[in-house]
Amino acid sequence: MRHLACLIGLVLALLGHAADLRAHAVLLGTEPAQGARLTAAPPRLALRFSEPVVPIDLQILANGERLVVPAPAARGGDVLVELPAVLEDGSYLVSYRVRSADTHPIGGSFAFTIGEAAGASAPPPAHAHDRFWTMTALVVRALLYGGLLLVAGGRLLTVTVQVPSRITDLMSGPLRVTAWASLGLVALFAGVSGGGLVGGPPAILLTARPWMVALDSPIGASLAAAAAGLLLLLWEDGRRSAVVRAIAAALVALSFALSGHAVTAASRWITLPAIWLHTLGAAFWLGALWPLHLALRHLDTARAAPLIETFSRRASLAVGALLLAGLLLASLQLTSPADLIDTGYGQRLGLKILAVTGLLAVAALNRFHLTPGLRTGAAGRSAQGLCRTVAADMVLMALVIALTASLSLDAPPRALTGHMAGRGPQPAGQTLETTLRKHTLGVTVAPAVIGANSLTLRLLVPQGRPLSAEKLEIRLALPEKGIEPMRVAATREDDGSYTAAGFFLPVAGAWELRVDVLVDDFTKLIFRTELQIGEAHRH
Amino acid sequence: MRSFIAAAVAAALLPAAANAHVGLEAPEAPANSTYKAVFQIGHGCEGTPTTTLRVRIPEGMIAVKPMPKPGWDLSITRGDYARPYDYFGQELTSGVTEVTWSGGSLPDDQYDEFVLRGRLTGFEPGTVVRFPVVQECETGTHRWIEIPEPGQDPHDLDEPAPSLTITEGKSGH
Repeated sequence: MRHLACLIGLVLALLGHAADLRAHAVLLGTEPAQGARLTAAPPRLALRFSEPVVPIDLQILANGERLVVPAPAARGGDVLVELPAVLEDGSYLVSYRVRSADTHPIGGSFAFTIGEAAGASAPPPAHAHDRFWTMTALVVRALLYGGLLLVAGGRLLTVTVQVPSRITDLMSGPLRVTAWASLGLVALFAGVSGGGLVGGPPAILLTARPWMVALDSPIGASLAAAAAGLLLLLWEDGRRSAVVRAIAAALVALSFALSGHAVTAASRWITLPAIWLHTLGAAFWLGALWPLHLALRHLDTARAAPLIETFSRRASLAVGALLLAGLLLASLQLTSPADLIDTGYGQRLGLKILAVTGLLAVAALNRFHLTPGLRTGAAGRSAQGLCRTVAADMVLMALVIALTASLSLDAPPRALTGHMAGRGPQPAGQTLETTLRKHTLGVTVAPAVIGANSLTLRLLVPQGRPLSAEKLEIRLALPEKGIEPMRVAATREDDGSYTAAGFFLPVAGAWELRVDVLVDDFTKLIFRTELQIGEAHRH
Repeated sequence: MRSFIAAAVAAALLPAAANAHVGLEAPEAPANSTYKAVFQIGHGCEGTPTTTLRVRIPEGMIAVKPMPKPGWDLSITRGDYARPYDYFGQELTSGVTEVTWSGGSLPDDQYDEFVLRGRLTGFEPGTVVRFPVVQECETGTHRWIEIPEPGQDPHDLDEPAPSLTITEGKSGH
């Protein structure tokens, strides 16, 4: 029995090898060809193999998503896929896996682009709706920030400063409306930020998916805190409980600290309280401007003056804390002062600092010039002047809020340093090194996010000189998503490096990079490494 | 059952060269023996006939003599060995490093063998000796030169170099 089993095992294994003795099918060509730039959408895809094959899997990726296509049909060595609808302009990646007669699976990928917009420099379709999501999220975020600060600050003021009932009465209606509107913005922001995470057309807002995705991310906790704070404030309205009001304002401020780039900084235990303090200060400042404006317009100078003076003193404290926390956060997010000019994040932060400086100048004018004037003879002129500068304050504050919201557009320089080879004009990306039989391969991929990417390869012989390869083949695959290896053409540069530009990576993940280097006729080195390709949220 | 698996595994592992790839007829040879390397060519490239076969002689295989083949031009490249080898009392410092059969035409649907002979010297039993082979065709080239990295399954290679495993030498020879 044992011998029989042994014999059967041997025979089966040898049969397997016998079947293997035949050659594998070879891909002769595809239609469209790898890297083709088409002016119009092709009616079908065709893959030509050297011998009959059986399709196992074929996927077409655009926008990071798999298109729904009919099952591929095999006719001899040809595999055909009829494309159901006219494909939109953009970049596409086709990943295939077929089985040849010898049961050997053969897989590969190829990419092509359709339309004018599909040039190497144009954004791939993954970006088609990104802009919509980014801009919508920016607007909603700015409105939400404004609403939250206004509501929290307006209520916070009444905790810390004795506000005449005439003013609180004037404010209570609009504040309630703002609170409800902010609640609406919280919900909308969940959908919009979720839409940006999911990708796809604006119509997906009609589905539950973007909301679910957003609530599942750190944004969820942040929005929950904001909603809880707002609801608490609305509930408290009319009960006049200072403690509840303070807690609610603190919750709203906490919502700023619970998501965003600042939270992902390494020193979370510094950034979280810093943002919280920063937001509370901002809420106090902004939230106070509106009642002050009302006080100056609706109260006589004698009654407005004490309010303004008290606010002025308290504001100095709040603004001090706000500035300290803000500077601390800025220093954590930047790697050097040069970032203020070199990076998009830095530029916006610089603008914000400028706008805040303007705000401070106006505030100083109020504090040291106009406020003391309220008590003196020129009270009327001072009140008028104050009324105007407070209005200017509010405009500047709106600008600061918009700029703060726009900070979310780019990752801060601190977050990029981990992935960057060097600083300066070099695009953000990823650099890594791998060695094989004492040869070194340095790889830089940029920008290492979904879309068009480029690779720079540096090959060094054991002595450290650049290696001039007889031939170099680059393949990229993403097995976790079933994307088969795609060949990428490389050219040799004057400095001895090799570059491959403008190839398209449709989805994020750990892409496998394989580089076959033909050192001489009989020596080949096969380097393998992983490239982390991220979601496209930078521009 | 265990023997079934063992046999299957053994059969799957041993004739690694018997894939669709270029292989050696005898994938094992004793240490310090004369070895006849028979390269088996089962197919051309992309369906076109094989026109040239080039074999790099591994370091440690000395006194190599290729077998001429009717219809093919034979050329031999000589060079220095990495170290001197003892060949029946004679010290050899140089010899054949590359053998090329060219000018022939072996259609994709036909099979042929290319032969050379030499002395395996200085290899420890268990050593895997690899013969990088370049197969040139009317259209395209196969480079059977890939070598698995430590821990890598040789079956994962697309174009592995034909390999020979050294076994215990014959004593007293």
